[in-house]
Amino acid sequence: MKTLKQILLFCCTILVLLACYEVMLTFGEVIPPKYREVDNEIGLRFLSNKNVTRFNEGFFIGSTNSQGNLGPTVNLVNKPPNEKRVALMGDSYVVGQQVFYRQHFAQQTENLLNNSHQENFKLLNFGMNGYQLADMYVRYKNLVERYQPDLTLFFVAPEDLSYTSAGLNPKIDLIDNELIIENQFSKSESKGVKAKIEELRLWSMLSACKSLIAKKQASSILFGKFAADNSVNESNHVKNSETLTLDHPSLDLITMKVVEQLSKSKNVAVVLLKPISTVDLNQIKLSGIPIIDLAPAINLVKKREINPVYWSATKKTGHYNHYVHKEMSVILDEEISKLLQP
Amino acid sequence: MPLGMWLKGRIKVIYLLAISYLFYGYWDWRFLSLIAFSTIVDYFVGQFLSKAKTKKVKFRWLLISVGVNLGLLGFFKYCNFFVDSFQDLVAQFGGNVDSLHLNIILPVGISFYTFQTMSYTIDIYRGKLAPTRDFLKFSLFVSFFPQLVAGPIERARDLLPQMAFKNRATRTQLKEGIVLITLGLFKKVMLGDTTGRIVDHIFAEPGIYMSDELIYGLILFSVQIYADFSGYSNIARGTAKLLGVELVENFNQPYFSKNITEFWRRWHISLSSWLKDYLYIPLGGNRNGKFKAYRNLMLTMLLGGLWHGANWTFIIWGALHGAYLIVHKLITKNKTGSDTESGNLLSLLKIATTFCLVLFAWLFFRAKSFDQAIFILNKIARFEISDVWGTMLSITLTFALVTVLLDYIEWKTKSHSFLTKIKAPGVFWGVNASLLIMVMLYMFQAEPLPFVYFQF
Repeated sequence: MKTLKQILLFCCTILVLLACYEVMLTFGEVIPPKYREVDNEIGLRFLSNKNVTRFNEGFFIGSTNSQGNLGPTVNLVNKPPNEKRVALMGDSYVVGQQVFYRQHFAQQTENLLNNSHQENFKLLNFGMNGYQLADMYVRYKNLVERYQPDLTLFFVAPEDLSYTSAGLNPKIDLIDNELIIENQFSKSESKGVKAKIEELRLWSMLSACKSLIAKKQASSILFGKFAADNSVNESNHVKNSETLTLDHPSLDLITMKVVEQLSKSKNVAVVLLKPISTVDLNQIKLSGIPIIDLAPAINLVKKREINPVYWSATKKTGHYNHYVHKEMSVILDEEISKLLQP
Repeated sequence: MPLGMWLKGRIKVIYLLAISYLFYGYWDWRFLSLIAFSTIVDYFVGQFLSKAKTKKVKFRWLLISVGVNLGLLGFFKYCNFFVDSFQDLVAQFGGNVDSLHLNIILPVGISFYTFQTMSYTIDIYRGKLAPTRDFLKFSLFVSFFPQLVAGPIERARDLLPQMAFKNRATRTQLKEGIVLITLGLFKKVMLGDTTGRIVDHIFAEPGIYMSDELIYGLILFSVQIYADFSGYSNIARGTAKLLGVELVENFNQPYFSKNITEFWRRWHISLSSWLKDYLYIPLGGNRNGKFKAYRNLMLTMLLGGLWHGANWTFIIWGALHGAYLIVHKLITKNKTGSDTESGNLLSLLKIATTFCLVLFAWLFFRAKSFDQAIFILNKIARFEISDVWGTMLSITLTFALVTVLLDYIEWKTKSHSFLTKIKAPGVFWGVNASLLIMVMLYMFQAEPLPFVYFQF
């Protein structure tokens, strides 16, 4: 009986303290809560009004707006006549959760545009991690058009031009030369108590553990000495990125069709986050979609002997750092101004 | 560890010595020769010191020990600092000296074990300690793995007698050891690493952060360095307890100090007492008048700062603390003792003031350079308010409050292993298990950060 009592006390203590840790993590805000959900029409989307702190190669503190997007909220019913809306579509480079939103190119471009124009510019960030051009197209059709953008920018890199993704996003198919969007997701969302548990930060931590173990990275974290060093020499990486070969075209049939469809839409442009192959570039040019090349922004940063993808705090490479965000905003300010000229 | 806990006597000494050398060689096996050299020199100097008949001969032997230890420390830790500073000085006067900068790797823990071995020979020289004839015991004293790389800096008179290992750890020691390790891991991983991640980003690019974010960053650093270092000390003490060895306490709720003198009695106790016994007092202490006492205090703090690293920022940090101590002595007219008679509100005010002074000095300790520290101060003076101030405030308050809560419980229970006071075994093991679950979960969220004091 005594042993049973102690076992019960043991379990209760663990549960009570785990609840205390959950409170600590909630106020401490260092482990992000669940902040994405699956929408039946558009696939993955951010939950509205969620504070998010993220540690990756960079550091992000921010929140989603009441419409479940990043950036400003806009009136969906009545668009003020003086308002110019620019929608940004892309993957994690556009989501940009490596810098505070005030350093994000979207916010900086918005500031520059509003300083030099009489109109009220709103840059709406519809980025979603892992998105490719085909996913962006589906999101554009299913969600973004409702926001009546004056201009939509599709940010792409070579890896976004051959469609592979599906998962929690609508599937896209090419049947009889027609793009077919199927809202059937390979995974489904939990409901009820399970859904509530999944909203806990402790659950997020457990999920991260599970995924690390699945990726066989657990031992490298526990026994760091034996694992490969993830820190990168800044100068080496600049050289490596310069020697990238661009001979292989990436555009597949589905993405080519997406480009064709987009060319029929008004006021869209493709923004090149990274250089793409000449063949792919010519294909997009032929479609008549304006192209904004961000290479000058990246080259400008490189000229200052700064590695555009190096993060000094974590000594890691990854997405573009805040130096690039700043230079990108200068180019985007000019290009958006040109494209929206009456 | 289990074998080390089970063994007794001579065999345990040999086993722990082998483990300690393996532990040290795990970082870089080349530096094993360094620790072995320091051990051999100090062991034989100890023998010769006890045999020397005149004070002059004794002093010569002491000079050899101090010279060798400081020489090693000077070469590996300070060589490039002095070379670079000399080059900068020459450049200031328009001169040019070819680069003399050497490619030297700093051996882990060198500042700790050289100070520990020096205290052994100095104590023998002063006649306070008899040298050990047991070379293996002495080698283990120098290289005892729980405290080898970041202290506490032990004295031979406390640690050497325990190296006989006549008995295994008692039940109380085992219980306290487990609690200290668990709490230490929680402090290091949950508090130190979490705050450290934010601090690293803020100090890597202070130019992109707002004034209040920089202040939050500084407060978080004060949490990080305390949680990280006191967490390590807890783990070291806990591990030693499991082996039946008692190490000295290194921290005693330092942020509860009501004045700066009290802070130095509670922060990194093993270093501050070492500096007092082997530097401040030999310099004359407060025996030769007020002015010389202040000079000695400042010299001690400057060298204490330099001990942390070969950078002007550490010297400025030491100078600031030296100045604080002098001002405090002037204000209190050299009265000793702590401010126990203050009322609650006044006590809180004193604690807050002391913390602010310590916090200001931490800026120089953490900054990459003096210029960066000044840049941050200028940026703070602009009073820019962050767009994410709510989140930053929430993060800062949460981690500061958890740190204060742990210290408050320590203070109330007068014990670092306060969890042992829980009577019900179910609750005791439940608390420990939950702490470990959290540590393990958090370790998988991101790569762990190295202990801050490993670099010293």
